[in-house]
Amino acid sequence: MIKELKYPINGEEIIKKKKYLKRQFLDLSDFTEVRIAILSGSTIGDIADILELFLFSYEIKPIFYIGNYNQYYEETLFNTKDLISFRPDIILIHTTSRNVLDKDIFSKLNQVWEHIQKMHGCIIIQNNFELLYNHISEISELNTKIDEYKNKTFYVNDIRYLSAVYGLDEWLDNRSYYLYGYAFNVKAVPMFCHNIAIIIKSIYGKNHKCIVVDLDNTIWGGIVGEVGAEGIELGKGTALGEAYLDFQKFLKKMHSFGIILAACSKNNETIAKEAFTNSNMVLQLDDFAVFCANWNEKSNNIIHISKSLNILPQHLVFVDDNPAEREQVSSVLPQVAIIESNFVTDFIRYIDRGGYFYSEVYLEEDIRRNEYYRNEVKRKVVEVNSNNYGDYLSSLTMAAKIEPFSDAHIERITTLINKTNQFNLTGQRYSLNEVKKISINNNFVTLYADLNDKFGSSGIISALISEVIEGSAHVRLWVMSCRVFKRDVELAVFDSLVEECLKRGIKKIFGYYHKTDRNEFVSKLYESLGFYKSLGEVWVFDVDKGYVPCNKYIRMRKE
Amino acid sequence: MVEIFDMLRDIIFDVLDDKELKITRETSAEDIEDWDSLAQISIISSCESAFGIRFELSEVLQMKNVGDTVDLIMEKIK
Repeated sequence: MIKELKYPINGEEIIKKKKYLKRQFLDLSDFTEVRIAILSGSTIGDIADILELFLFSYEIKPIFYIGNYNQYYEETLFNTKDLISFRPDIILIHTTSRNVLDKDIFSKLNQVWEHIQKMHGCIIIQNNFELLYNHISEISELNTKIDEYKNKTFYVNDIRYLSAVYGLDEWLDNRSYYLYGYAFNVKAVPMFCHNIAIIIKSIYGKNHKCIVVDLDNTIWGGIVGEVGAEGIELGKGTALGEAYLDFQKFLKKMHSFGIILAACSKNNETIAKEAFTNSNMVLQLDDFAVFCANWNEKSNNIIHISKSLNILPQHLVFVDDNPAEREQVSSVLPQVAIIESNFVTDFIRYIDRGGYFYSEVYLEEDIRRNEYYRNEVKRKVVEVNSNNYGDYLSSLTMAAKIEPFSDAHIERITTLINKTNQFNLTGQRYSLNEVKKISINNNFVTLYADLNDKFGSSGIISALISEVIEGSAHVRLWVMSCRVFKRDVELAVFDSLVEECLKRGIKKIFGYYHKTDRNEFVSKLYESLGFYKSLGEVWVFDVDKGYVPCNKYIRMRKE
Repeated sequence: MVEIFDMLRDIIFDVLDDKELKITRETSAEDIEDWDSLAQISIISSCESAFGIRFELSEVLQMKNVGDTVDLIMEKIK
């Protein structure tokens, strides 16, 4: 991650270096394209430049529609043609306290939101309002009403909070407004954009997934190898002990929300584990999906963590009080998000405000994620004890539900589509709206798969979209979660696709493999399923009545 | 005098990310394509921190070109 674009944000520096920073992003080919319309009540032109940088840092490539100065109301309600033809995925309504004293501001906004839902069906991000002297109670009331409107397609960019963090007097520096029409201090624009980018990347399933923590002097005070389990500083007895206790409580809470924890410490494993017998310990050994305590280089341990959890290094956040260790990790794995502080008193704020795990609502999927990973460890034990891989797969007693997309699952399917990189044949991304439309369009065959086994449910883990053109099915998208690699789910999905094609009288299936940086894993998939190669990376499969299903280990369940 | 001009020129180079620009006392925002409002504010605030001064709104409006700005800074740090 580029340091400048990470919390804590230095606004002046980012504005100064914006061109230099833009040059750091050379290859945008694997980025998710998102169409963002910014409608505003004040100047926004240059905001897009800064917002773009932060979105790039989350591998999102924005395409902007910039509304006219102070025309957010008119543009959504009356002059709507341009906006409709832009087909926004997200509409950002950039109103500020400059608009707050407009007559009937809430009903105006309300009309705008209702209209957007009806006309565009896209996601709305709405600023709330910073406080103004003499209008504090009106504005607070307005902000509460905006909060109450929140739902899965309506997000609030909390500038009431941002302005407080920045300092309201500085934020409201009115020279920027009188000179150039900026509603607030231009130096606060980067912090403002960072916050919007965090909301957008969380919508597109690009949150981080795992916190890797060092142990000694990171989650407790002192070195357990020197002072013993009862000698470490932890708990209400001392000032530092209390700070470490709070950090552990914070990690425990993150864990309950589905964030994975891993430990990475230069330590003797037995001694490090003994520390968890300390009576004040909040975290349990069980809370860590992977526990690395050894004398290897930390970057090696983090690679090991990343591999054993099947999580890319760019989805890890690393916390370590020792700057030399952080430097070592960052030099080998620059993509890991590193919390740049030596002090336990900073850790919670840096992790929280960095927005790595930002979520308005913690989805049920996220909360269950830890359970998946724990079950995965149990599966590994069975695998090691099986005579061969087939025995292992059948001992799992897997059952799958494979069905066309349905309304209840559209959100989970969209998230899966947009965050899956490894098992992703085409790299194609779809917005919530597009997936909705495809799901009710008869010219598409769609399938999702939901898998469980004797250890528990994995939820929805695969999705496929194929377009039917002149009696052939063209597979535009096929993704599968890395959680269920090597379990033959792809065979079960393919069987279902062929079955559906036979029903519809489809004679040929066209498969496409578009190479990206990360989908090497599936480069041979179509070949292995019995497709033959046509042109380049176009693969063809002849559907015939004598098709023998490939899947042997997964039972189909209907409900 | 020369020093203030040089410092201001370096700030402009820095903000506009171009060390090849030809800057004279007569240069103004209109002469340089990338000199937009964000750049202008950035130049002003960089000057404020570099020279430890603050420009009032009316003063910013007086600054028509690089020369004006140098003179104003001169006056403020006198």
